[in-house]
Amino acid sequence: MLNKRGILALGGFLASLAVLGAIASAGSIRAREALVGIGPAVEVPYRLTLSKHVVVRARINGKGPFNFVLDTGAPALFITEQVAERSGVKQGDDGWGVCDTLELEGGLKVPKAKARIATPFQLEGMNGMGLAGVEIHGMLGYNILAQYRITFDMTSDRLVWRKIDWIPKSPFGIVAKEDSSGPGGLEIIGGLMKGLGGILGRKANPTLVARGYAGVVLDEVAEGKPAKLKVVLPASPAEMAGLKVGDLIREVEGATVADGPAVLAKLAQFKAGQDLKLKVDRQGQSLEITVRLEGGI
Amino acid sequence: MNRIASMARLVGGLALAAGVLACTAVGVADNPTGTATEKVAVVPFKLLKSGHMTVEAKINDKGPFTLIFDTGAPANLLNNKVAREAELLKGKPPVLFAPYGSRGDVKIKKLQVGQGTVENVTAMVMDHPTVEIISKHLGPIEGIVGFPFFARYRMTLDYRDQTLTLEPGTFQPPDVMKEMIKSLLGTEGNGRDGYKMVSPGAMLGIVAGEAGMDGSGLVVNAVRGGSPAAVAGLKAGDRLLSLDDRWTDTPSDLLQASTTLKPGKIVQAEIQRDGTTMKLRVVPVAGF
Repeated sequence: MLNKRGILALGGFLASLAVLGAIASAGSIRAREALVGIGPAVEVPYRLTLSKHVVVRARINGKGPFNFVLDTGAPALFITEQVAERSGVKQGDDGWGVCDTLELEGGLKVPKAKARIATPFQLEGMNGMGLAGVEIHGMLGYNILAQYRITFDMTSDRLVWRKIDWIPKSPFGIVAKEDSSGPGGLEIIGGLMKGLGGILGRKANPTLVARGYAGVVLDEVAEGKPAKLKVVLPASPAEMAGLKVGDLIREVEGATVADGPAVLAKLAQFKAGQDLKLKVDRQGQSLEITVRLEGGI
Repeated sequence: MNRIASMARLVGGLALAAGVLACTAVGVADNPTGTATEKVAVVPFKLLKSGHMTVEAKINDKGPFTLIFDTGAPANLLNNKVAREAELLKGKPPVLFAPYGSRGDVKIKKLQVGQGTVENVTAMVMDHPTVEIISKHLGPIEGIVGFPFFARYRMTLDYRDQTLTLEPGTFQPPDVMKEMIKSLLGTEGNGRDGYKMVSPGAMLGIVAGEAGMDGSGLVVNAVRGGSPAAVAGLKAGDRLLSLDDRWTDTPSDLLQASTTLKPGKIVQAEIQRDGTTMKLRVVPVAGF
């Protein structure tokens, strides 16, 4: 049953709360409150995953990057066994591992970050099904988050972190206890999801493939404005195919494209090496031009 | 092809059901017309011994109820008791099979967390075993408030003051359910078959080469003549350490980093050339 000194991980993963153990009876959480000081703002890039998790990247002891969910539902920094091994983080007698350096993308450094080394079932399930669209290596929870004042703004591609002069008390009572009771029988889901992911041919980390490169710069890309070539780069596939500045793109692969956004959306499906058939309007004359796309971002 | 599609649908459905069991909350369809309050709200939270935080919430003017505030939760979650008290289950037919009391999604007309109010927000109803365990020891706790709530705001989290500051925002949380199904049943090139097509937000003219390891940056294979990267001074053979503050160890990293580019918005490319690290300003353009 519930072990008094067990571990409570409310891994907010997919709203799922993994009680990896039980609740501890610890002292007051308002341990030490120093009143001075808030550090400078550090902008930390993040991505919002398909599963609507706010994910930041971090290097541990110079290794990585690894992907972490910002998770107030997790009482600590959780890293998987694989991450711990790769970054040389060892579990101590107290059940914690210490990251000598934990550096978030954007340059934020968390000194001596303490971590739990575990793979909650939500992580296993999510990665098994590729639900996030990117492999998740752990959660950044309370013991790290509480050292910062963090601003989330989903209209920006960065979070703002400021160090606060307050040392959160360790959610003590958290002790590794592998055999303590699980999150109410939910552990099976991890394996189940992994199995389904296999059937669906999903991977935690899909390989990203870029749209192909033609070498054209468009004039204003706006709804309702026809896509007009502003620049055709020298020796580019577009130039070699005969595209000229001022050409208006009317069709891509036989589909009418009303404006710049439509052209870009259509193009997004074609990769390097593929031929892209365009119909352009050059001073009232309609021309068909095929561009062999190359690689390049 | 049809058989494959219908199998994907079936398995996808099963997966979603499994997800709901795990409270994996793929089933969140948020009303995009939902609105957040206009004023800045400072909401106090309580820090539990376990390191979790709770807030007091009113649901359709009923309550307050104590909910865990969870930035890692893609869905809001309420137990059956609260769902009944707030009359959220009215008109919902009884179900024969309801593992963990799972009753699917309900629409909350008004969710107030302190002075922060959002309208027309979805929650899933379930007696989540983990929440119950925490509730038993540190409770009562009746559910979880997560992404569909806080994403509507510019939110600042401060553990020292134990407050959430909510400034009105314009972000409308997307429909998680729709996006997940689209991805699960997705066509080739959308995460199925192990790869995904991605388009940069703007064009740079960089051809990525060999990946670097642990921060050594990818090798730039080529820089397209006359492109923004060429104008900025990037050269073939450079190691690209980061773009717009995002690490670029692999071609996938670069591609991912390029998705947030905007035409005309200057970004920094951090490169290493002959052992020297330097930062170049790049102006990406609209193009391909």
